[in-house]
Parts: sequence; C-alpha cells; structure tokens
Amino acid sequence: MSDAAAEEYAIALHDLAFQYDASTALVVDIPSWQVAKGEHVFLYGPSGSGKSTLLGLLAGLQVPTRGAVSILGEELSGLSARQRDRFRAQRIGVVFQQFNLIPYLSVVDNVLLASHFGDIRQPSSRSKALDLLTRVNLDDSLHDRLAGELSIGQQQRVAIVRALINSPQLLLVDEPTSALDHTNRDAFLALLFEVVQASGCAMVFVSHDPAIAASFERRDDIANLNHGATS
Amino acid sequence: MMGVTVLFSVAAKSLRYRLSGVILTTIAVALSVFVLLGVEHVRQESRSSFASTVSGVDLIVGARTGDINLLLFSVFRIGSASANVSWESVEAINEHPQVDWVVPLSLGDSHRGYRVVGTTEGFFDRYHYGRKQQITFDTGSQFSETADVVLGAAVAKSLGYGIGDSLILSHGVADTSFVHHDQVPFTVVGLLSPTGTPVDNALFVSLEAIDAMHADEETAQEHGHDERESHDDHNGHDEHDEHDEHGEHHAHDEHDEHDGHDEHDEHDEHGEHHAHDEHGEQDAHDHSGPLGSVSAVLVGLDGPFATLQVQRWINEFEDEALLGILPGVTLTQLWDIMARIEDTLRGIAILVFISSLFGLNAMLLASMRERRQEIGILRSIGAPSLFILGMLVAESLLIVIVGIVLAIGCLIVAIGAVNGFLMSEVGISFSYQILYPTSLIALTLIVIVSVFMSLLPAWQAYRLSTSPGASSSQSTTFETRSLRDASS
Repeated sequence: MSDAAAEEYAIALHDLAFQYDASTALVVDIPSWQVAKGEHVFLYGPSGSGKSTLLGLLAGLQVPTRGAVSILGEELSGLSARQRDRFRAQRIGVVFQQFNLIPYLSVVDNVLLASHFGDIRQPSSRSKALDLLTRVNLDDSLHDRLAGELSIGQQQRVAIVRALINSPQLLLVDEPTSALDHTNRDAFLALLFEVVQASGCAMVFVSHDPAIAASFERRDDIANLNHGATS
Repeated sequence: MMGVTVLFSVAAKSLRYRLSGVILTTIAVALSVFVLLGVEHVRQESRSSFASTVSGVDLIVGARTGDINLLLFSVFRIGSASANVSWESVEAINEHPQVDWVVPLSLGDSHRGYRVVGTTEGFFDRYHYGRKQQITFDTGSQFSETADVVLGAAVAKSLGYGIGDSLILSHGVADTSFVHHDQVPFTVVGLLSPTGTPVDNALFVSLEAIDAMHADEETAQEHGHDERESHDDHNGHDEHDEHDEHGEHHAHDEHDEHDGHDEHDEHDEHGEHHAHDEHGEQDAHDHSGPLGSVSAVLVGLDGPFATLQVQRWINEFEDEALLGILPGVTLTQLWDIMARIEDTLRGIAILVFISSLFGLNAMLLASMRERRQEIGILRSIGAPSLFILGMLVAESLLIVIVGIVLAIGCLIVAIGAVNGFLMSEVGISFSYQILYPTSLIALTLIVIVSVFMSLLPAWQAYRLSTSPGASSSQSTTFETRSLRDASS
C-alpha cells in the first residue's frame, strides 16, 4: 500500500500483529483493515477477542509486534513515543466505557487538560469547551463541579466533549454505554452521533451490544478480521 | 513554562482529592522537618549562647588544673578549684605591664544551692557576655558594704528575694550545708538583669565579705571586719561628682589615687584597683592560706596581641603553679565535647526525616493501584509518560514544601511559646533567625532527597503508563465483563 493510498484512510492496518510478550500467543493478528476518513464503524465481538488491544494499537498506546498502523496517513511506528503522545492528543479522541475523567479535576478542567496536551494554544479553547458542554446538555452549574461528583451519564457526555475538544479526525469509542441504562444509553448515542456528525471525524465504535449496531452502516465482526483472537 | 504550571496544578488538585492521607503524610513530613530544624536551631543557639557566656575577658587564671576544669568552676561554677591563687600572685599579675585589669573571684560558698561569688565591683564592669554586653542592674546597685549582696536574676526570682531582704550564706556548695555563716547576715542591695549566663544563678558579695565570713567563723574576731568598715569610712569622697552611682566604690578610690591618676576618668579601670585594695587589706590583716587567696582571676589585657605572651608568662609563673586559659579557646574545647550529643540528636533528626520520606513514598505507592485508571486516562488524552512521572514527583515536592513551610511556622510559634518561659525562668531567649546557611543547605537537601525518593513511586507510575494495561479500558472492561458473565 502506498503512502498516497494511506492518506485516504483514517485507519489503515497492514499485516498487524501484537502479543504482550514473546511466550504468549498473538492477541491481534490482522492482515489488513481500513477505515475511510469520516467513516463510522461498529466493531463487535466477544470478550477476549482483542478489541481493546486493537484500540490501544490504534491510539498508539501500544506498539505493534509486527506490521504497520497508519492513522490519518501517519505511520505510528515511525514516530517517537513523545510524537505519538502529541499525535494522539491532537488527532485522536478516545472515549472509554467508564472512568473517562480525572475525578479530582472539574468538568471544564478535564476538557481543558486534553486541549493542553493537544498543544493548541488558543484562548478560545475555553469557550469552545463551554460551547461543546452546552451542546451535550451539561449546563453551567455543572461546569465547575468535580468530575467525580457527576453521574455516569453526565461523565460520559463530558468524555465526548473531552474527546472532541481538539477537533480530532478519529474517534475511538470503547463500550461507552455499558454502564448506562437504556434511556441514558439512547440519549448518549443520539448526542454522540449528533456531535460526531457535526465534526466530520471518523469513528470506531467498539461494543457487543447489538441494539447499537443498527445505528451503523458498517459493522465489522472482529472475529473475521482478527485471526489472532483466541476465543 | 505553561506545562509546569499545569503539572503542578493537576498535582495539587490530585493531592486535594486524597486529602486525609495527604494531610497525615504532610504532618509527618512537617514534624520531621520541625525536629530537624529545631535541633539545628537549638544547636546554633546553644553554641552561640555558650560561646558568649563570657566575653571581654582575655585570660582566666587559676591554680594549675585542667583547662576545662578551670573554665567550668570559674565561669560555669561547676565543680571547684583544686587550689587557690595567692594574693601575691594576683598582685604580680596585676603589675604585669601588659595587664590592664584583674577581677579576682572567690568561690566556695553557697546560698540555698546557689553559688556565692566573692569578687570586686570591677566584676560588674568587666564581665561581659554575649556580644560585649555589660551586666546591668535590674534594681539596686552593687555592694558597698561588706554585708551587701547582689543577686543574679534567676536567684532573685526563684528564691523570691527583693532589695533589703537579708539572707545567710553557707560554707560549701551543697544544697543543704551544715555550716552556715550565721554571724554575717547579708542584705540584698542589687538585683541583676537576666543575662542567660551562669551569672543569673550566682550571688555576688565583696571579697571582704568572704574574708570576713571565714575570719569570723575561725576566730570570731571582730577587728578585721571593723578594720574594713573604718577603711571604707574614711575613703574617697573626692570623686562623688564623677561616680554618682559608684559611691560604693570609693572605699577603694583612695588607693586609686596613688597608683593610677591617669585612669580616673574611666569607670572601667575599677577592677584593677580593687585588686590593689584587696591586696592592701590582706596585707593589713596578715591573712594567709585560703583566706588570703582567691579561686580564680579574670584578666583583661592591653591588647589582643599580648594574650599568648601573658598566658605563657602565667603558665611559667615562678612562685606558684598557675594556669592561664583563653576563655574562647577553652569554651570551644568544652563545646566539642558537648557537640557529640548534638551530633547524635542531629542523626536522630535525619533518621526521623528519612522515615517520614518513606511514609510519603508508601502513601504514593499505595495510591498507585487506584491511580491506574487515572494514569490510563491521562495517557489516552495524550499525556506523555514523563508528565505522569513529573506529576508524582510534583506531588511529593508539594507535600514536602508544604511540610517545610508548616515546620517553619510551627518552629516560630514554638520559639514564641518557649521564649516566654525561658525569658522569665532563665533569662535567655531563642532568636527567630531559624534559617542558617547550614539549615538552608539542609532544606535544599531535603527537597532534593525527597524528589529523589519520589522517583520510586513515580517510576512505577511511569511503568504503568507505558505498560499494556495502561489503557484503563482493558482492565475495567475485563472486570465488568467478568461480572456480567458471572451474573448471566
């Protein structure tokens, strides 16, 4: 695959393999996988199928044992650890299942810390944060509360804002609704789609919840693409 | 350095979040720094107050004994003189061309456990402490009559004496001496201001009084006493204009006339002259043995360059085996002995501090498990591993710095509290100058050592942040999954 071709994709994996240490089996073994820019992918599969590890590789938190991870045209293994951190901060947003926020920072500070690591020195980042927080229905009274004092549903909404504050082109979402009840889940998903649509970024949404799958046009079974899964 | 600001701001908020543990750890650090600084402060203060116990005295002369023994009994009034210095020798020393003045001290009596010092009025002019501070009278004035006594501040306070009270001196220095000089009741004529030196714990009488006491005791003869009284009586009214407060001195001034006209304008010269007086009186009464002698002599010289020369001359004195010591040098020797105790204290303080650092580290390490997620979150939003490491170091740094500030504050409060007591009880006070060059170095070392030690938990955090388990998604996902699996 040429670099020019890789430019077209938000994610391009080639002959990717990962194992935690040499004596254990491959956790991830993906010959090839691409996600186009702006595309939304629903990735599903049972536990132990290597989904979270894959997300770690995509975010550059882990370095592949073999093969290449190209994100937004950038070959991650070609970057230094510091550069990967910077790249992640600026170009990738991450939302976890739960515990997305630093509990002892206020809602606004959580968002601004992400913008700090994104190294985007603009005075407007605060107003952008407040704007986004309003868009996910978190009113002013909550902005200065400690993140740890918020309900899970509220925390997950802050997590979306935090993930999008640096206008990333790739959003990695890992089971963000598993800690939410149905009402909250649907509200959260509606919000997520609304905000992501507006930002135009690509999204990989990992979940095993088939009810969510319906919202996506592209649904990939991790068992099909990951040959290393041992389940 | 916006990054550093963010680092410390996040670290501070993180500490606030775990406040109870942090407060305990900070208190532990503060206590240990308090002990460390406190020991250093007491060390410095005691050294300087020790070194300033006596100043303005060039030589202390006594019968041949150990240097430290001579210093101990003459200045600190600990122990006693093994032998005395005869009047002939005192006289000879005084006549040495390079000797400016002498103040004889006669020790060996006590009053209710406090030492009695027989001396001359010159003592109050000549004896200095601290930075050339003179002894001052709180109330009253120095002795003029044989039966007058001047009290050190601590004596007056603890025994509750005031001007005009009369008291009985005892022979010997035991608290309850069986031999009382009942024949001679003394009248308190002066109370000294606190000095923070052994002066506070002594009673001062004239040498004549000491002589009279012992003379009375031995022979019950009155004439010696009378002789002195009459001597006083017909002495010096000629200088009342110059020495208003020193009317008492005039007993001796007549003598002054014929050996030192040139020095009359200076108060300071009195000491010298008294020695002459004593000598004269001793001769007159033909005292011999201990009564005609003193325990030690404080000597002032014409200039600092004469010191070693005169010291040598005294040490090689022909008629009597004498010892002359430089108070400063011997104080240092004595200090060196005491310094070992302080080294021990300092060592203990350092150990206390190190143990508090271990406590700090233990707290940070214990928090590491709950911080896995936090670290994972920070990493996921692009925090470099170094930020994680720096955050842990910043947290220890903040705890240590707050601890140091707290310790300094406590020390100042403690000094204030202790000073009130010290000032009233022993007349000394600690200065508020608690940061010495050595303690500043110590504080810098404390900060460096704590940063160094915090690298252990910080490194663990760093490792966590780079390990595969760092993305909290994994651990938490697995946890909730296993819960879910168990329920289904």
